[in-house]
Amino acid sequence: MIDSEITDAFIRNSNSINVQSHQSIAKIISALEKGFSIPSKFFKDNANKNNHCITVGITGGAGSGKSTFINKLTSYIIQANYSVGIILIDPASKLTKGTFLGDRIRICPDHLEKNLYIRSLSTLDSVNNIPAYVGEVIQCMKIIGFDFILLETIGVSQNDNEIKEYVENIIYIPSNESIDWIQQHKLSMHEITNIYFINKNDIQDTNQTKIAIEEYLELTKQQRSKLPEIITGNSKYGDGVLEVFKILNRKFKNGSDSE
Amino acid sequence: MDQIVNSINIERSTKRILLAKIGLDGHDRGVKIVINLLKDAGYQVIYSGLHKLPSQIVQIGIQEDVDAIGFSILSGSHLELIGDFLEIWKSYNDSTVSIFAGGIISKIDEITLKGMGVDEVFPVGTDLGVILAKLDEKLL
Repeated sequence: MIDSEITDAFIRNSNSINVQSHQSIAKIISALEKGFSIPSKFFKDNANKNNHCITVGITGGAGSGKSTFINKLTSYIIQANYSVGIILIDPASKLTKGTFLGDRIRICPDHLEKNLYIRSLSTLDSVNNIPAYVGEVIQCMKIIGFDFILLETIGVSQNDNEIKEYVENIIYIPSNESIDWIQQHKLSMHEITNIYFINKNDIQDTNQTKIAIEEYLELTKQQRSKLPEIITGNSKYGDGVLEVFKILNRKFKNGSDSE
Repeated sequence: MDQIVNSINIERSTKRILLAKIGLDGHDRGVKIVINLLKDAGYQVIYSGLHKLPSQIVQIGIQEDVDAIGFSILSGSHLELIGDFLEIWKSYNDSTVSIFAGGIISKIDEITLKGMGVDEVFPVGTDLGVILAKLDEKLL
């Protein structure tokens, strides 16, 4: 069980977003990572503190541009005076247990803001691509009161859709190679995606990918209540990212994740 | 690579080390080698990227709740930059975090840095085994 000193400090500092609350949530996350658990009473007592936040998962293949995308999206969020908590997951080597947490390099540069909390996590021993305690990390971020919570996965392949258990909105950045219909039918990411962001339109033909996804969605539209959005752009220069932000902002203004 | 997971790697795997480049210094070959050294030893390694401000490193160190912070400086401005960093860092009173520095650092500066609160200094040419052994000593 987690040290009550850590949880008490967290509650004391959770009323506003500043260096102190950054410090205390960082301690909680470290304890969770080391295998300590938080008493369920803790979340029950603080459950009603913040229900307005939008949780967004960003997933896609290795090198598809997830971190660069988050960098741009974050700058729009900060410019609009929202606060944002970001969780970045990187894989631990199964051979040596070591992790290089490199997502932060791309995201940190322009922002030195107290409205922004970034935490890199290693997958460590977890069988899944997402460590089990991420759910609790998100709950802690909600208690502090971030407007947006972003969760970036490690580079995924065909069948990694467990991110849906943690967040409401999924942005999927597909790789531009898988354009034939057989591959589309295999991808389990189609089951969960709300927004497709087809990246790198400055160096690749993104139209083919867009058509392949549209054709797949056309075939499955009867099973869906709402068709996902498809946006092409590139995260490096920001093309298309503003559109994604506008969609999320609309959701935020409409009130909640759980519609 | 034929290393298999042993108990010391598992012990290291929850320890987080931030490697930082501050100031206008783009020589990152050394830091990349240290990133790989520590990662293969089992540590979690966070790299700040190039050209960061001392205050940015403080922010990253706090948000990531790191156990150690290492600076790689080859521009000769280690006294000023690490001094700036330590001033902000100590205002948050986090004394459990070990601080180390590597790069082109003379013997005299090494003594000065240690007087300022840097735990270990690894001048250019230090054996990688020594770096790992000293870090293990501090962190495990």
